[in-house]
Amino acid sequence: MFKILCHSIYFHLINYLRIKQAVFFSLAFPIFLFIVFGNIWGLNQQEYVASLFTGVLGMTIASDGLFAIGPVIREYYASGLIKYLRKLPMNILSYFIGLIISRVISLLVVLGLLTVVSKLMFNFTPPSEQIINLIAGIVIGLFLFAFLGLTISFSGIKYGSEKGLINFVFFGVLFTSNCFYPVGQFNRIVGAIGDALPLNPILHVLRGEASGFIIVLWLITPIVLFSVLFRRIKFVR
Amino acid sequence: MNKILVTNISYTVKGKQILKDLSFEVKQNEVFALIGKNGSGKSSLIDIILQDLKPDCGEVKLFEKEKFNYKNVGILYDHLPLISLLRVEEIIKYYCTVHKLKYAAIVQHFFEDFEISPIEKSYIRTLSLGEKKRVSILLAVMHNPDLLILDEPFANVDPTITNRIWNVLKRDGRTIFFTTHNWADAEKRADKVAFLGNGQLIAEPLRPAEAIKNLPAQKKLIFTSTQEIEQLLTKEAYYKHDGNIVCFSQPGSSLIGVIAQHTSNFSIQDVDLTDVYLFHLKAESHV
Repeated sequence: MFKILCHSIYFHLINYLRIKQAVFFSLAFPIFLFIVFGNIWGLNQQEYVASLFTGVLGMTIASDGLFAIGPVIREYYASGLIKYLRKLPMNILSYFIGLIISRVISLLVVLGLLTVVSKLMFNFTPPSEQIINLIAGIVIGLFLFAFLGLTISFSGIKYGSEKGLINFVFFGVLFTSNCFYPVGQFNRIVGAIGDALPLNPILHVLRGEASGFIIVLWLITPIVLFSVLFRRIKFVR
Repeated sequence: MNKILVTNISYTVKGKQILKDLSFEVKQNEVFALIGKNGSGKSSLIDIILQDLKPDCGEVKLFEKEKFNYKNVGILYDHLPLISLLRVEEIIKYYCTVHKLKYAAIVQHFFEDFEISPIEKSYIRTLSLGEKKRVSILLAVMHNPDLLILDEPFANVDPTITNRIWNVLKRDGRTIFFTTHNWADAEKRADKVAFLGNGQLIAEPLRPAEAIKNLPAQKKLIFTSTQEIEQLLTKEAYYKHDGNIVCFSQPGSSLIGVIAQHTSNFSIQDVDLTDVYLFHLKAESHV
């Protein structure tokens, strides 16, 4: 079981590293945004760099969770690959847990890269006591957004159209969040919407702030919805 | 012992009946070919046998059990178990881990017959359809299962290596159930053939030679269908296909002379499995 899990993680990692778009959006793009925004507003403001550091990480967690898990599993169903996986002498969960762990590893690499770039460019590194918050934020955030992506992917919409809907959700959540600046200070309504959506609570975890009951709601609802949708999945020819 | 037992399976999709009250068995060590045209329900039947689709009624038993695991079954669906961005060796190694096999042993036992070595390091996306099929068949057979269930295994595979692959598949008297629309392949490889048409088995599963022997004659006359000629065929068994009449004719029959008076454009050929299928499928309306 452990050997299969390790091989599954490796299998998903090499597959992911060969998708140029995925590598760009989950590794290069966040670092690029961190450098650009940090240079515009953060050169003499360590407080902004600290906030941007977790903001960029939060954005990447949301992006990876939404795009790299739900649609991938939906693709397995659409291509029929799931039928082979279900017949192999292994627990199919080990295959998908491998997928999730490969995403966690990728996010830990992003965290490492952000730390190095932040130190080199802005002379800022997150305090050691924040490391646990950062790792907890990655795990909780990935879990939350993965189930959100799964729920959208299996919501019954036409195969291929779910990516458009996930894009809409991702940018809606991103632009109302406090990833790059405190939105609520510019517009209270947008700020309130952002606080009700799942990214701000994850940013609170990453920043070591209290995130309230909203995060619990966002953790439970997609799981319940996905469980209901998953039971209704039927293979058709 | 039955390796596959299908009893009274019916299956409907959106009001269209795909399979009607289908029953047959595949015995141990038997190579069983299911033949049918595109859309005849072959792949749906495989999905039902493998419990991916639920039939409207009827039951399937594998290894004489209603609930079974697939440890001893090698499977090839009508789509392949491959991920385009991975290399051939990476996928085979993953399957080795799952089946607790050594990669070196797979290389030694299968690579030559399946001609995998030249494509071992290639990405799946760069392979031809035939090469992908070869890798997929290897994945189905590499753990030495007792039963193979294969959906059109040799479509697009280079005919020069199918003999070698068949020898590997048949090794140790393995039971094989496969679908095909390659009639010649079925005739050559299968111990028993069944024909699927209009959702039903259109004849009792038989040995290919026996099925051919049961036709009205062992020769066939093929000529363009016209009303005038058709009126002459009062006693002969025949069927119409693609604008032609295919008429079964005993050696020395007077029929050739009669046809020759009306057309010079006809041919005489030996009957084969295609005739078994089409004769049974079209018999009701044309004989």
